[in-house]
Amino acid sequence: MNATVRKTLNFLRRLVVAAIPILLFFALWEYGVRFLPKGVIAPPSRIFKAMFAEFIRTVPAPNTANLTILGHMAKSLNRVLRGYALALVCGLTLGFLLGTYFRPLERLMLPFFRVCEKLNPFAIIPVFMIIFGIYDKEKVAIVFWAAFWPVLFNTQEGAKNVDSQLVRAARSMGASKFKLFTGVIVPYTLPSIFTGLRLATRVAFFMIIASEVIGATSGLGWYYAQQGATHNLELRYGTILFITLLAIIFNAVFGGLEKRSLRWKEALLV
Amino acid sequence: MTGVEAAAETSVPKIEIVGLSRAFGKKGSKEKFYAIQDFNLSIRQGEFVTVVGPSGCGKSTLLDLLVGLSKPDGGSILVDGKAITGPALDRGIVLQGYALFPWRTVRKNIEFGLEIKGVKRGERAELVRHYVKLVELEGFENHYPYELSGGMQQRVAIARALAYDPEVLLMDEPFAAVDAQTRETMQDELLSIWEKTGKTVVFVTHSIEEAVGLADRVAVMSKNPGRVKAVIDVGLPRPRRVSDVRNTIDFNVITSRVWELLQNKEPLPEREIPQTNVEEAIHDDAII
Ligand SMILES: Nc1ncnc2c1ncn2[C@@H]1O[C@H](COP(=O)(O)OP(=O)(O)OP(=O)(O)O)[C@@H](O)[C@H]1O
Ligand SMILES: [Mg+2]
Repeated sequence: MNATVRKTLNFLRRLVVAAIPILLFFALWEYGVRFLPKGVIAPPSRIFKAMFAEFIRTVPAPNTANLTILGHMAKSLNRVLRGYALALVCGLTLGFLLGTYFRPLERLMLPFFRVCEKLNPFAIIPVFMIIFGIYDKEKVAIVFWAAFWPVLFNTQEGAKNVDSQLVRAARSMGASKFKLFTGVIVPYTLPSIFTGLRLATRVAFFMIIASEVIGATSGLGWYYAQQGATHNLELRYGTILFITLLAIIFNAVFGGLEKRSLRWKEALLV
Repeated sequence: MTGVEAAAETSVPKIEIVGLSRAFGKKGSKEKFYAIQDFNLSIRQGEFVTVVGPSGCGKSTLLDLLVGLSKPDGGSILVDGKAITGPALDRGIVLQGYALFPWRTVRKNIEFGLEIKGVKRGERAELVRHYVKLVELEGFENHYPYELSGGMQQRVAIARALAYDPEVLLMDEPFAAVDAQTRETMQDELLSIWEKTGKTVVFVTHSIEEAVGLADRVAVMSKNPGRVKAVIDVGLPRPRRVSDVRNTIDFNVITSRVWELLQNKEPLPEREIPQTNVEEAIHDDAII
């Protein structure tokens, strides 16, 4: 038996083991619903059926009001990605600047930034709605606001603590400022950046759904609120499951990316 | 003095340190603290000089100045007759601790200086092969530092400093963190590398045995301020293995002289060293 086969088998075994409690949970759910009054919780079998129908439903092209759940997902993802990308660019830039070349500014700016971070993001949503309206711009701004701080703080913290011996080693070999940055500071900071990105992903997801529930005309959050308004129990619970699944997929992709780029940290991560 | 040495003496020294001083600001006062003051030392091309002295006497500070990571507050350092202006590829340093890049494999660590030097990929691979072999790390090219023992990491640091072929190699307590047996093996390896490459070496250590075993000359430093107290000619035969000379009378006589210099405030006049002292010196060799 060669290594790849063994690896695949191992993976399958782990998958099966992990699936057992989940399947058990669904079985219990399916069975338990019968003892509850009608209209409180939908059984999984009906949820999956309704979701399947929703997935394969076709929509006349220009009719955005009648988008399927996938259409709304695309809307939400689009907003998340734009806000996230913006937060990434700004957070990394400012984080590296404050952590390295503009260290003296750290004392001046950081306390203020900390206060900004502490503002309750839910409390901010109405303010942003007044400033930006309830369309894409507002959603992107909210995701940006939520994702920016963890990226900024973790980048700054990581860059600030770069091992001075490593900087000296690089400089002793005649490294230019640029080489010092790309060859030492960035790789050294990468683990903290990933910590920041992970936190940012979580809050970005959280905030997009929340802001769409509170006020929007499209997106997964709006879609979810809509099913509540029309008393469609199956799709309502289906949407919750679907959002959970999306979060799991995102986490897995991120985890894989992180593991790949931080292979040298493996000993410390285990 | 041999003919070769006499010739070297008349030509320009490889490194000429004159009246060197380096001061640090004291916390909460305008006063300055001189880590190094009025330091003088002249080092010949291809010479192996070791530096010993009490902790905090400015040994690391001296190497920093030599490699160009910091600037002197007085005096000058000439390499090949020219004042140094900063770090350059003609001088390489093995820093205290290994200072390997943990995100780079052994190969990529060794390549760092070569990348800066602008060496092409193919040639880099060739050089890595050569230096990995020199420090006996074949088969570990694709390992990360955390997968290596302390001694192996140390050898990577040495290979990294050698790879871009500096004429001067500066080493700051490179063998401090390895066990006694590994240390001796690595001392002998270093000597054979030095014999093969003919580089000028300035080697800082806490161990008197190591200082004497490796060196052509031992510079003994004093503290507050850091300066050269005495320079001892070793004169043990070359090519040399530390394990071979360690038990000779000559070795023990020189070791105890260095030992005395470090213990006394003022340099002693040269004299015959009584046998009992030699015995003592053998027993409390090593770490000060
Ligand atoms: N960046 C710095 N700022 C202030 N003082 C410093 C700095 N670097 C070194 N010193 C001081 O200079 C003196 C010499 O330090 P150095 O590290 O050169 O000693 P050393 O001889 O290498 O000691 P050790 O053997 O313990 O490594 C010490 O008193 C130290 O406190
Ligand atoms: Mg030191």
